[in-house]
Amino acid sequence: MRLRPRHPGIVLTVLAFASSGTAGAQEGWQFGPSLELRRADSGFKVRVNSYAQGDVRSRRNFTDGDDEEPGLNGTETLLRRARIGLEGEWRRLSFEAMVDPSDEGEKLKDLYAELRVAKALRIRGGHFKVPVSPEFLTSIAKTDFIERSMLATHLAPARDWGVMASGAPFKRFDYMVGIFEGDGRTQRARADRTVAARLEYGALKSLDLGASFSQGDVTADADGEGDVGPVPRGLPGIGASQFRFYDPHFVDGRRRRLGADARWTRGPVSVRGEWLRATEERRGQGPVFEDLPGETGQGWVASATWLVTGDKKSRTIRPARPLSKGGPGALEIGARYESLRFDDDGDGAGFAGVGNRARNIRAAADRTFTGGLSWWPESWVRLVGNVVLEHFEDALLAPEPGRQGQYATILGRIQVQLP
Amino acid sequence: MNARTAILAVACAALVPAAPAAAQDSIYNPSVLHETRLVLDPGDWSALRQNFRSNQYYAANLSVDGEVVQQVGIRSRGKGSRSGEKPGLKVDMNHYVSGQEFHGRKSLILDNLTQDATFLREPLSFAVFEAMGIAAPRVAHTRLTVNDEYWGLYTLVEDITKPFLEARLGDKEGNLFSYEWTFAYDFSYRGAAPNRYVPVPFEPETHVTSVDPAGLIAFIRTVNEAPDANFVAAVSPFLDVTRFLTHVAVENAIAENDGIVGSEGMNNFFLYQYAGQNRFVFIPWDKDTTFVSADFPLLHRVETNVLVRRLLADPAQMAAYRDAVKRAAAVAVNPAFLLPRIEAMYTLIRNAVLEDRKKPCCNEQFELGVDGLKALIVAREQVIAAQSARAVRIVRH
Repeated sequence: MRLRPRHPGIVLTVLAFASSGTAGAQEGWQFGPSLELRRADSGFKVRVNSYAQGDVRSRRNFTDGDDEEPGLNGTETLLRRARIGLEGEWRRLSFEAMVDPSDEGEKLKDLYAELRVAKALRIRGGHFKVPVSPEFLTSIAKTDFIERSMLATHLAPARDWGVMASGAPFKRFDYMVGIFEGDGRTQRARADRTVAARLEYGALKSLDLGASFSQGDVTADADGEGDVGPVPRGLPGIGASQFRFYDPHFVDGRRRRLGADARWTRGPVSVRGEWLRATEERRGQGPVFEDLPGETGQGWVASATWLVTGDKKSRTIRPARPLSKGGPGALEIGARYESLRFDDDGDGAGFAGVGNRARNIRAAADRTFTGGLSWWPESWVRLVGNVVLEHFEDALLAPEPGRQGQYATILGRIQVQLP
Repeated sequence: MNARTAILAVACAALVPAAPAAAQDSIYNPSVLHETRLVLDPGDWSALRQNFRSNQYYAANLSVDGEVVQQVGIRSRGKGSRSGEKPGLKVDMNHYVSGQEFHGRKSLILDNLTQDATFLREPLSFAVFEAMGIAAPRVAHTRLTVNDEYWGLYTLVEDITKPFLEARLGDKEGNLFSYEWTFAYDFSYRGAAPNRYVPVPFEPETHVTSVDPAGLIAFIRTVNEAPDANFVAAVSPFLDVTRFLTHVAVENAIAENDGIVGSEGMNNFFLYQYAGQNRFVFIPWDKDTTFVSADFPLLHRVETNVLVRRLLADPAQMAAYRDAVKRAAAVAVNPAFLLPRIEAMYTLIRNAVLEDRKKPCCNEQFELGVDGLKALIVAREQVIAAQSARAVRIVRH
């Protein structure tokens, strides 16, 4: 989805102004920093949670295109996100609501309430992220790079309506398990009712291990809508450049995901890795309604970051020496290498085709290196620059047929959020 | 052809306005029997044949004379010629692979020739159009092999796309419409609503999602509503009237039963609107139902089409039309022009036709058909001469 700003400057300015902090007091109620309202006697508090991101994306060595097929080369600026939300808690109940008015598609992001029954059991209900990929579960305002990894974006489930139990029943052990209406409410590839589970284990003080699982059934689009014929509901392969190297296939039946991940953090350094495999059945999806071998999408990612200014790596970076106090802010460098590959689980015999009902799917993969630089002059402002180099396994299915890579995309972002 | 006719032919040839010549391209070389191979999933090929009425694409590897292009999209094509036994095929080079081309083209046609037992009518017809200065697609015979099984004799037909427009009309940025026959249409004005014309029967082939049919509607409205007194003057900004009448004259000279004045309304043409102008040109297409009879009337059904009828109501245009028919006979619709071509193509394709087990006709029909075609062409020249000499009367409604 490409979001184009109407007035990106206004949104960023308003957020920056709000971020300068306001405080006040009323009887019984207190305004705290960060636009927080609380009432100590009842334990109620609510705060505004908001951020905006303005992006620039530039592709230089893809394709120029022609008058029939637009090329990919070029530079575009866009208001990527303008999230406004509330989060709060009252006694054992907490809630969060988040919308994005700038999103031309789905404006609702999060809307849920959570009841803390015990440390080992919290019950959440509403519209929120399906718990599989830890990177997708991380706010996009806090990810290490401008774009999430391909596996988190295209293989992992997204947000949907559901109910989830979570908690920490044992020391170092966390779980999340839920049932959802689907695995991505706004996505064409949405499965039907989906169960998902995620386990996390703090193996060492600085090492977290995770495993995840989801399963749901996808119902093939039989008739399509209007003049458009049936649309395939398989998972797509799209790179950071937004080049689609693998078109969705017609799928029907079980979609199952299995993932594993690890994260090591020590001081200013973090290293993380994630692997996720999605399999999709293709029952009756052959050209004459025969069953086809299942489709597999598999992704992995490894990345490392280092806060060279010595700040501590955490989800929320707070510079120890912000610019406003004469310091350099916090500066982080990072590198990421990842792969996303699609194929089928058949025997590989016969003609390997790219058609969306191919028996023997012609495998397609994108391997991507991302180098990144992030600077937080203050905790509420972040400037990010990424260089993405893409290499496609199948030269024929690359942006310029015959040239596997490297295809370079330069990404820039300015992010402003309420402190 | 007698001496008098030969002299007339030479004189007429000099008068024929030349279309920009078709560039040489090895895959459309008509003097070679090409070898086209498709490799695809046997299940997909089976599905394409079973669902031959569908435009569903399937991925395949294509080679023509050993030159390979991978992962093209193929689909069944045609109207009356659609066949599950011997499918006509459209090949899109870039359906799956962005930007892919083959010989500078993003698509080509494999015509199954199931409506012509001689396998010759379309190449002959397009040769006549070209000889008369009307740009027509290039065409060449090819053996088609699918997954190592010989699937019969086809023709490789140049698709009407931007390279054709640029090379033959000198302009490619305008609106190209393919005429999609769905009902008998006679170029009547159907009101101002664009959806009465686009995408049916005029299907946009360029600017597919942004086409502005206002020019097309204005053209049709003018054809229908301009007063008789200045009809030609009113239509002339939209159409090179002489060229259009030559197109119709050629169709009737070659006894085309399914063209602009076809038996079921208009059919088998593309309509191109030059960029930034309200000027249109008709492009011939799919000429495998030509040479249907030697005594085909030269004014066959001209009264059934609004544009043709109103143009021919003008005595000067009728004279121009009759002159175009005469020129067609003198230049191309005659034994001297066509019989050597028939002999050459027959020699080239005979074995491939005889081996073709998918064709709807038998070998005897092929041989008899070719003989009959030759006889028809000999007779046709004389019929045209005789009919041209007669006074003609237009039935006016």
